[in-house]
Amino acid sequence: MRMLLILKRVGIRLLQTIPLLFGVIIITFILLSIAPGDPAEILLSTNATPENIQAMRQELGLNDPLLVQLWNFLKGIFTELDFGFSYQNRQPVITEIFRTLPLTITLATLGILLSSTVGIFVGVVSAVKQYSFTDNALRVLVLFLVSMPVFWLGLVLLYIFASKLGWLPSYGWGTIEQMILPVVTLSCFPLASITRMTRSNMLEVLKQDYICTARAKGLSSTSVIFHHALRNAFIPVVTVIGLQFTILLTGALLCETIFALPGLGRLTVSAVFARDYPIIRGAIILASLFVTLVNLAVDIVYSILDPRIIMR
Amino acid sequence: MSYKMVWLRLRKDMGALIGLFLVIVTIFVAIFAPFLAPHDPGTQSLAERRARPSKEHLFGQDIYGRDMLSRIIYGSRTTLIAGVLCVLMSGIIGSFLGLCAGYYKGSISTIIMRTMDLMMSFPVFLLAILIVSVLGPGLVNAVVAVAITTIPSYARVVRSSALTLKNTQYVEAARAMGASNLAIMYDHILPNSAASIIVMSTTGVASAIISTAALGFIGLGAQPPTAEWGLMLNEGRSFITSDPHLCMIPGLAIVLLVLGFNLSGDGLRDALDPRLK
Repeated sequence: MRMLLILKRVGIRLLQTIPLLFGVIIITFILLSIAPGDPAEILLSTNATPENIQAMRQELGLNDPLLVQLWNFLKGIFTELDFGFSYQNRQPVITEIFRTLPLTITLATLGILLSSTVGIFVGVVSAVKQYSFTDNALRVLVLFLVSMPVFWLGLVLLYIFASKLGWLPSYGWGTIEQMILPVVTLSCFPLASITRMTRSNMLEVLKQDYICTARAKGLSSTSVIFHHALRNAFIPVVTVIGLQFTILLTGALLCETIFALPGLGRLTVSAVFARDYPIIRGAIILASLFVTLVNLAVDIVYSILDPRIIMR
Repeated sequence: MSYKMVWLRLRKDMGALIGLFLVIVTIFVAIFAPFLAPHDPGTQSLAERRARPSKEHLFGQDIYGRDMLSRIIYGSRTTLIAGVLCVLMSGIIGSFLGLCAGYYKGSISTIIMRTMDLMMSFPVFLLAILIVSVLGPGLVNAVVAVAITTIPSYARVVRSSALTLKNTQYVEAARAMGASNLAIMYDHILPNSAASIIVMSTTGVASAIISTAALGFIGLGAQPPTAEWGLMLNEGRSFITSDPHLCMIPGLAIVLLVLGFNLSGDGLRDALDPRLK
């Protein structure tokens, strides 16, 4: 019965998601179509004749009305995953994105794993020892982490651990040593939010009567904290972790710039400078799809963790 | 609640006081920049480029030999104005949309909230990049882009408070006395949502500063030779190994200002509504 309800909820959420994704595709397409700069001119070298440009416009379908172009674009995406081709190296957009996406997803996933394990642990410690020296010190640290822009934190870590101490490489991706700095840089902001959320929820839950009962039954404090309290404090934390994923994507984009990593972020930023609109378009659409799916997944986990939600 | 009460509570909050101090100092520096800056922020001195901090140039000199201290001082103007403008734009538009969506039932509310949902399905920073790539790189465009991306969060918060407020007795009383919808929204619902709007805007300035600086950092925000902290970081980035002061100083400036706004925001939240703690 419960399984059915969860499935129904997933179904409803999926149905709500589809129009949003269409909206994202249409808006991205239209905004980039009215952007300044003629793609045909960008594609051809500077000494192209007006006739060449005209021919190229015809070939790209730029002379069609906007709605026709949009229709063709949508048809291309849904029939053969065709997002057009990059103006810079004439590769299909989808190949370029699949070349760079794994790095960004790995970076973001490692970042969320690190920040949620450390964040939940630190949050629990902070809450259990409320107002102690540890708690106060951790709260100040968390506040600093929230106020620290990713791009600056990355540079500071790079300076200390790569330039000064020489412990870790300052660029590249593949070995564990190369991954440490970008992942740690990326984790700090979500770490701070997750710690805060865990702390305040734990404090709330620890005041409840059932915690008192559990203690009175003579259960060990570890059992009370992890079994009774954390399980109940966990639900809002899951939402925060889901929300952090979007922020993490931003962070990943900036981390890739700092540590010279060939990921989706670098691809997008260099595409903006080169006015490579098909790449920008593809990257934004796929990133939005990714974020939407993560939010959907969070919602499902949420309803499994908290049966009350489905009943609403 | 009176302003005096808020101030009395705020005064006991050490963190909030430190935050307010940081913000007020920055505002002071920004206003009196021409009197405080020891040098002209634009004067280049190529012979002394990337010079370390010295007596003459307390924060050293940048990649073109410009005085870093003066650029930080003038940069506070750019950064503060950018952050505050972002919040003003998104706060006003977002609150207005949220008010309408909460107050009116039916299609107006649906249209507004579905549009907000649509905006929120874009990853925020990528939406900003999309807008900047359409408008072209630059500080003003970056501010507009960041402002647009934050509209939905204001709309949502104001809508939820409008939804509860519109069923209160005083709103009903106002309606019975013949007040127009606009008057009710402006006189009753907006002032009562003010607390959450103020709190959101204060921390909103902090994140707007980070976002515009981030756009400056990747080269899509403020353009040279503007003195802007994010752009300064970008300019010094290649010299992180040899001349760390080029990055450390503007970065610290951003952190302190953002910390100031975050601390004040947290303090205000606790002072305005202790229940939210």
